[in-house]
Amino acid sequence: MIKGFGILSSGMSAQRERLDLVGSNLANANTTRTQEGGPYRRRVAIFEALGDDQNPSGVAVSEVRLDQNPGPVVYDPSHPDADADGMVHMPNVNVVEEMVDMMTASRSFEANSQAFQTLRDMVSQSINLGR
Amino acid sequence: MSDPVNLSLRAALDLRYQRHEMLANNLANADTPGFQPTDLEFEGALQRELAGGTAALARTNPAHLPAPATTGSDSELQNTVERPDVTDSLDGNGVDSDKELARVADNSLQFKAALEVLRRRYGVVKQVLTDMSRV
Repeated sequence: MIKGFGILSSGMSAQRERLDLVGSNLANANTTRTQEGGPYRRRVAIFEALGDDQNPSGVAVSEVRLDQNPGPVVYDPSHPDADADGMVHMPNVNVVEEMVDMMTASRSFEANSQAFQTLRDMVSQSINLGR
Repeated sequence: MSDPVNLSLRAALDLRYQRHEMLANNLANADTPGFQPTDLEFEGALQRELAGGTAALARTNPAHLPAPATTGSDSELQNTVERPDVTDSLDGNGVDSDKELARVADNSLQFKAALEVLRRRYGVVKQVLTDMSRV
């Protein structure tokens, strides 16, 4: 009936998914082994707008992409994953960048939740009109 | 109960809901690359909504407010405008969350105002009914 709630919750869940990926990236900032081989690759959420101008329907995470930029290579011969020259391929996760992403996502989440609250007030006021 | 003033207040409330929906969509897409925010051109939309119902109620004086069409709220949004706040963002997104939130607050306040007028109009009717039952 009231589509605004759906739109705003889609915004909140998209930001939450983005925060999950930030968490995964931070947790794996030093991971050199993965199932697909090689160091961990940074995960990025790709957002996609749903609906059109006449029929706005919110947002969704359309895919999770692996950041293909090369990570740093450090010299550490004692590391079990070092190659023949003693170099270790590290994940392409930049911790500072992830923190910025985390703050942006959490602010966007807040904005959606604020508008949600406002809509809730509007609806409850209209319901009280009959009193 | 359905005099032109009440009907136009109702149309205004409907449009406030619709505008909130569009602003909500802008906020939800504040991080979507290439997304351009939309807004409802409220005055134009209200005029259109009110003009839709002229067949239902005859106007004997041009100063009279026309009544809205009964199916008004389900009609397609005609007064949608694209309104980017940010034009030089790297990912082509045109949403400024702060301005969007300010619009949400403004819209909800205007909604409240229209609702309050409607509430008082109903209050008068209620008062009359209560007093009548006392006699």
